[in-house]
Amino acid sequence: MSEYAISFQGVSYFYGKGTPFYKKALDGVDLNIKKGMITGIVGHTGSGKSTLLQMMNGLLEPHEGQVLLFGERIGSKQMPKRKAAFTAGLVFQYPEYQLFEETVGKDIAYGPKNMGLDQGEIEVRVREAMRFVGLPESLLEVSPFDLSGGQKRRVAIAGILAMRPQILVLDEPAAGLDPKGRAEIFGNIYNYQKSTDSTVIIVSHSMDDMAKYAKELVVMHEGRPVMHDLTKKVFLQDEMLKSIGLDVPGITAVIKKLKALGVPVSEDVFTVEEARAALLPLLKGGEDHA
Amino acid sequence: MLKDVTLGQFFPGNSLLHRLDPRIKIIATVLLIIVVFLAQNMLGYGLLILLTLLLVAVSGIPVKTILKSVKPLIFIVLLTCAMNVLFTGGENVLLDLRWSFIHLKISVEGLLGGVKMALRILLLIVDTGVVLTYTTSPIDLTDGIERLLSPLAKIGLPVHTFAMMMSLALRFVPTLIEETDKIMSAQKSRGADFSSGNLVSRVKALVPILIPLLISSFRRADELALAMECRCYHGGKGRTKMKQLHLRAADILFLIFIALFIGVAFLPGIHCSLLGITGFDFLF
Repeated sequence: MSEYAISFQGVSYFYGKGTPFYKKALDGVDLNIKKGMITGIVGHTGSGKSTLLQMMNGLLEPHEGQVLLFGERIGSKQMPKRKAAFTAGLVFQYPEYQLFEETVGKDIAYGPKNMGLDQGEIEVRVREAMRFVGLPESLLEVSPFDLSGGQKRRVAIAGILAMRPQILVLDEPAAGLDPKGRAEIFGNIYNYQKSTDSTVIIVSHSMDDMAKYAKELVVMHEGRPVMHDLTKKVFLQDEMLKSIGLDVPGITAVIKKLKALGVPVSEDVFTVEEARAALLPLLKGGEDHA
Repeated sequence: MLKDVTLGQFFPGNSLLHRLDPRIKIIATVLLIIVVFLAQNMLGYGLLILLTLLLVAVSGIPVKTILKSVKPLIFIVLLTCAMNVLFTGGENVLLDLRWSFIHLKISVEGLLGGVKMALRILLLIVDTGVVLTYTTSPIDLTDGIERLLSPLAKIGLPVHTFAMMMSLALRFVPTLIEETDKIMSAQKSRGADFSSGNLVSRVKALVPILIPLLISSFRRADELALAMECRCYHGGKGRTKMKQLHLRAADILFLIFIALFIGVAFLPGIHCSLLGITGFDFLF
């Protein structure tokens, strides 16, 4: 077993070869994603994030290079494409648009059923997946089309979790949700990762969410990973991020401004909680002097 | 994958065909369709094939793209061809087989009929693709249709509505294909298998695609109607066009060229029958 959950080795991918729509989506990507943590992927629209994701579970085959899951090449005997799909569970953007079954329970069971599991095992997994995403069991027999947008999203994510993938890959899991919904979904994913110790990969535009939940961060730019480091270290290079059109978390920007104004605060503050911890003593200190 | 289905998709470019007036291209396409069905002899077909190759060359659309557009229809072409071969009677029998109650009889006429039918369909696909759908943007296309049909509005036909429906339908073909692709990928990620098993299980495997597709189509239609109303769309009355169509010399020349070519292509067939040349009928 390899120490990495997913390895990209010299992977390139093109769209519309030989047409006016020709586009190089991935350009010789070398990337190793570690096991047992949340890795975030950020990048501009068209930076190759989605292509990268669809290669992780064998939906897209690289035109050059290879993709390895736990050291086994996707498409090899040890890791055929179908196994890859169950190993790396991929949740697409707006996954609620793929719901089709009459009841929530049946929809979540679709994946496990395709794996050929028996009925008892499927039921256990459906309930477990619903727990992970915070859906009450009373919704088991409800039609997914009667649910709210946020709940539909949870059903769709549960549909992937029920396959118990070793790697969970999510594309903008909180897109289009209100702040409360966002926090809940990310909280669920965070707790899921903690309790199962699985590998989770999240693509998101929200630097604030990444700062809060992702341990490592990959920055994609024009089909290549230009940075891959601990999230904190990536956010310290704000000049580099800005040069490719990305930003640091909002709270980090505020702290930087404060520092520029002469407030003695450290720069590596990336979440509101950290900012609170860094600023409160200063305020108290100020009071003492007054 | 589905993205490779290119039938009816605009292929941007700047060739002569791209720049022609859409009205002229529609008329030329209709003429070509008529002629493809009128063509009787091998000479006519030969010339039509020549013309088609010429149009493909002028359009600058890669041959690969055109072949891809034919691919999904190849089954229909082959089926029609086979039907003609098997069920057209004729005097010059090539093959006559009988097993119990199956009677297989293939004649030269049937064979030629089959080939002609296949050629017809292929020419239709390629010609309409190259002259019209590949080289005309959907907006130009419906503009052209609306202008061509505008006389009918005088007798109360809803020409504008029709044109709008057409342009919306065309506009959403690529969107729908993309959507299908996305849903297929999503269900594949959940282990859906569309390519193995017997017919029943394959049809069943389509349900997880069709239902989301249907729902999203309704949602899209709803949103579109709302968006149109928000911009005060109220039908064709008093609506002006941002882009006015103007006929240029090149348009007229193109139409004359097509008309001339067509004249040459199927007049020989008429000549043959008028002159009473017989005996070689099966060739023509």
